[in-house]
Amino acid sequence: MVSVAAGLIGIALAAWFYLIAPAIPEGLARTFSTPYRWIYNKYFVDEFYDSLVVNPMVDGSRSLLWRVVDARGIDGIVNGAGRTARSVGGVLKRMQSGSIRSYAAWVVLGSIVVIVAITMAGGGR
Amino acid sequence: MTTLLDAVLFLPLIGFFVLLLIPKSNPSLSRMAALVISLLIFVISLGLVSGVVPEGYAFVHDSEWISSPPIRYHVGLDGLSLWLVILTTLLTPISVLASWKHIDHRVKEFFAFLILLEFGLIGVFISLDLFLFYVFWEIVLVPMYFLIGIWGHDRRIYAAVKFFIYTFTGSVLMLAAIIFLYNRAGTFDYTQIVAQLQSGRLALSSQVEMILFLAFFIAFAIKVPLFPLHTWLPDAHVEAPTAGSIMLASVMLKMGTYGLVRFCLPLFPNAAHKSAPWVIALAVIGIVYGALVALVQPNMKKLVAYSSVSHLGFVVLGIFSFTQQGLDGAVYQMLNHGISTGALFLLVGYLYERRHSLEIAAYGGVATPAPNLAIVFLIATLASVGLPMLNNFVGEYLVLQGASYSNFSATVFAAIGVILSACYMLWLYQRTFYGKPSESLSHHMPDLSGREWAAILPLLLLMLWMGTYTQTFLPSISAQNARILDMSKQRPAGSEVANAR
Amino acid sequence: MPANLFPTGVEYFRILPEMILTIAGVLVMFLEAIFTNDDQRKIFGPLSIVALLAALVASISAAGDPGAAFSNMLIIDGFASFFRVLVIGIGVIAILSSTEYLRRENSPGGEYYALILFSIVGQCVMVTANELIMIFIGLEISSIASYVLAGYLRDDPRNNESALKYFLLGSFATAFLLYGVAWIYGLTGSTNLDHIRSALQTSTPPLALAGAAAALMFVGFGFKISAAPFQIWAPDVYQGAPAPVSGFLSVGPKAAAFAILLRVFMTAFGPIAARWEPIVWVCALATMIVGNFAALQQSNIKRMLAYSSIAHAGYVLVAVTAHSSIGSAAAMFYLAAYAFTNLGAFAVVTYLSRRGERYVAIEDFAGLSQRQPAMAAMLTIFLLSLVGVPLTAGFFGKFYIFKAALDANLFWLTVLGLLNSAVAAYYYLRILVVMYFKDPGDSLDTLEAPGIGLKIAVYASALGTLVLGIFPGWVLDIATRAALK
Repeated sequence: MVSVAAGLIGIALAAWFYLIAPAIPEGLARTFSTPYRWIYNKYFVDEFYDSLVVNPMVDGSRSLLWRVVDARGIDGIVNGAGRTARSVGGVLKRMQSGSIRSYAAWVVLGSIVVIVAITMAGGGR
Repeated sequence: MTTLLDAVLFLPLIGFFVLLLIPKSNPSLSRMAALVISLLIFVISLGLVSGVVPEGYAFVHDSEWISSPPIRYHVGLDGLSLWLVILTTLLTPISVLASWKHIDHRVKEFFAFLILLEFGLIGVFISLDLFLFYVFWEIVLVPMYFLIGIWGHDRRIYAAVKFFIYTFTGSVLMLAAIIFLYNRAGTFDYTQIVAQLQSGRLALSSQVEMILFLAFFIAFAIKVPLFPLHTWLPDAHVEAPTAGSIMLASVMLKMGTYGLVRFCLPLFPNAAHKSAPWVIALAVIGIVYGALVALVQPNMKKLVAYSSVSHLGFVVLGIFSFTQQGLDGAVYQMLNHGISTGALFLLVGYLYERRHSLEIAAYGGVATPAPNLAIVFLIATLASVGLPMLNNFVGEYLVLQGASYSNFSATVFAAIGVILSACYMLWLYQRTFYGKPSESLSHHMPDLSGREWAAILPLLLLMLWMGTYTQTFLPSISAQNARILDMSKQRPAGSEVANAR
Repeated sequence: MPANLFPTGVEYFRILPEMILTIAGVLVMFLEAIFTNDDQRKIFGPLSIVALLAALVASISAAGDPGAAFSNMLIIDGFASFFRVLVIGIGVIAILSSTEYLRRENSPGGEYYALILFSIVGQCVMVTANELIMIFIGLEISSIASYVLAGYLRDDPRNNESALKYFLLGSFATAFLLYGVAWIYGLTGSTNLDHIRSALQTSTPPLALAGAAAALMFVGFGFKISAAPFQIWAPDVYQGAPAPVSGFLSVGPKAAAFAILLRVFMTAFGPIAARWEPIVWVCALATMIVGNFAALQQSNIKRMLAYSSIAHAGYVLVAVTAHSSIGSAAAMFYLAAYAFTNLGAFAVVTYLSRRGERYVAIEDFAGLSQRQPAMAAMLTIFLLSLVGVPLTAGFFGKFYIFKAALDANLFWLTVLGLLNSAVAAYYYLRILVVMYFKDPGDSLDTLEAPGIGLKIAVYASALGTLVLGIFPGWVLDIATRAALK
């Protein structure tokens, strides 16, 4: 009963406000401007969610998680490993001078190391 | 004595050679032949369904390959591998259809590599000999590498090389572990090693077991991909051609999760239980992280790639929950993810063929000129999000329930992942399909053609079927999972007991 | 023990392959002086191949009747027969790919074939030797022929540089070897490997000095197998020598050198194994690292293959470190697998480099898959075998070597070795990238179809690589039975 009455009153009010005397809602809006704004904008719930949850999440994901952690951090390690391997290769490559005398020197150096190591080794792996 | 399974395995290899023989000048013959061969293999593979038994393996073929060290061609099918094989044989003809118009240069080699990929993938799922498993595991790398590198997009060389070396590095450690295990057990045969472990004839010290577990785990974790070993995937997906992405996401990633269930759990149960806390942590991080990063991707394929990282985190969570529901959900999710993500990549491929861009910003309002495409994409989106009555819901629900028994806080975070998946998928859908289309877009956006319908329809139907009538699929999976869980029970940790060779 | 003045019939039979090849080599040199007509000179290649095939048959039949020859100076056992068959087979494929090179450079010289034959004779003597002086003789025969082969085109400065460096450094290293031999003789009173072993077992000679002698010999052998720190000659020599010669050098003399390294160190120096195993461990690791990492930055295909060859020598050294029968079998299998793979790769390089070896940069391979798909596919097989992808010989070789290493509890070496393989994948893949993922450049315009000799060489190598990868059983069995204990 009460609900039917409420519904009928609501219809009547809406008909009066918007059909019969349109100046009334405008007046009400001007007088009660702040509550009006709040109700009109759905209590700013959407904007509240946006600023508290959605925007931080999206911005955080984009700038921190994606750009920094994923692209620079994790992937950086992966690509860095590749870069390191190549620079080690570069160092080794440059050790080949092409001069035969330095090659012979390497052989002598190596043989000294090998001879000393085997002679000194007393057993055990 | 050749079995049906042998036929399903070797027909793709024969198909590969047949396709190579077709003359280069006749690309349409290559396409036709590839479609016929892959459809034939699919139909034959359906015959495997009825043969699978709840106890033991079906279609077993065990003959000698190399006498010393004893390596055998030992293959077999059970509830775990059956549906993965069928997933493979189903998605290959769909990939062929997806590439019909898309691939216009070096057509013959493309389809040849695609069929060779199928050969490797099937082999991985049915191998019951560790060495044979490793062989197939590595074989898969080669055609995928070529598919990305030759027919991919701009940064394909970087993506292909990264993919190969990243996964190869993980695999070689697994090879060392396999050899070590052979030295202890005296055999490469999976069934025999499991039997030895069960009977106590073979006992590994906890240190050794942990090292072996880690060696296998790293190789599989790279493939899954599990955070933080995932960074090869976005590049590989973005740069790969559509068919490559479909096969990669739907089937290849399951190699990792399959390996975890088949090998890591039963062979190294104590180590697996001990590692469960941090593995679950990584899985949950992967779920949330993958979802958050997916949210902000401007590239459609990268978005779906990160969503795969997120979804497969669920699978790992389910596996390491050590519960029947968790494992059932995990295995079922493997199949679900294959279907829904395969569909998503297929549809993204359709969009790409029309607009030649993967950037979301290039689209908007596609629903107006192409309503059928919009509906189909919506169904795939909702399936991926986990809407009840579509397939992913079943898997995710089971995983969450199983995980809640062992680690409730992880479950809470994982559930957040479900919410986030709705965020990024629906947002993607809105930006792409809703709104007002621009002039250039509405003119170049034809709706789905017959061929495109033929490729996507089976996937849509499966999404519905797998989401509602799970009786077809779950029982055989469940039975096998029960046995695996039984094998994975924690054993009293011990020093090396009788170690017979 | 009085030496037999006249060898018995059986002993002749045992060295029949070397005799056949020597006669053939001399015959070729003789005919070369006589034949001045170009048509007549075409016979040298086929003649050499026939001789090699005859020697192959002789080796295989001699394998059925193992025993010693010439007062125990030579020993024909399973180990020696395996390597004899291997080096002769390598010779056949090397000559087949050389025909292309010689035809292109307009130099159908018989000396080339004679030198290859002589080098193979030296290698056969090396592997059948049971005695340090015989080893030295075989080593020198093989090396001197190799030095000349490296500098074959005397007008080409690259060949000259390669030959000179090889000769000077090689002689230097061999001097170490000879000094070591002299020391061992002084310490044990014999140069026969079995006698040295028994002498060292009694421990009368001071073992530290024996160790020093072994070290000196290791320097000499290490040079020949391009092990670190004696590998420094290899990149320059392989890059400068003619491509088919580089291919031959990287597999033939290397296999023979590994054979004598294994034999000497496992037989004669077996008793002092605890002394040399650590240093071989370090050498193996260093060799793998130097070879694999330096190759990452190479832009010249021959130089890259040289570093790759160094790296692969490192893998075989891992098998030597294992110091076991399975290690020896693994080394044997790997050398055979590597022979097919590397000969094939160098054959394709020979084909692509064209006249004057102008095109030896990796960039010159761009788009090869579109112009010559068969050759590109063959090179793909060889590269995948070098990476170690399953179903190729290279994978099985690596698997067997690391299995031997794990058997011997060399855990760290195994893990580091396998990781090295992963690093290596990068530079092999680079060639695949260039061949398949890039479009053909102008350099491919002058490429003609390959000659028949080269085609047989490439296909035979590819076939060997695949057969050893898919059905390695029979070679593996032979190696296991023939391995040193």
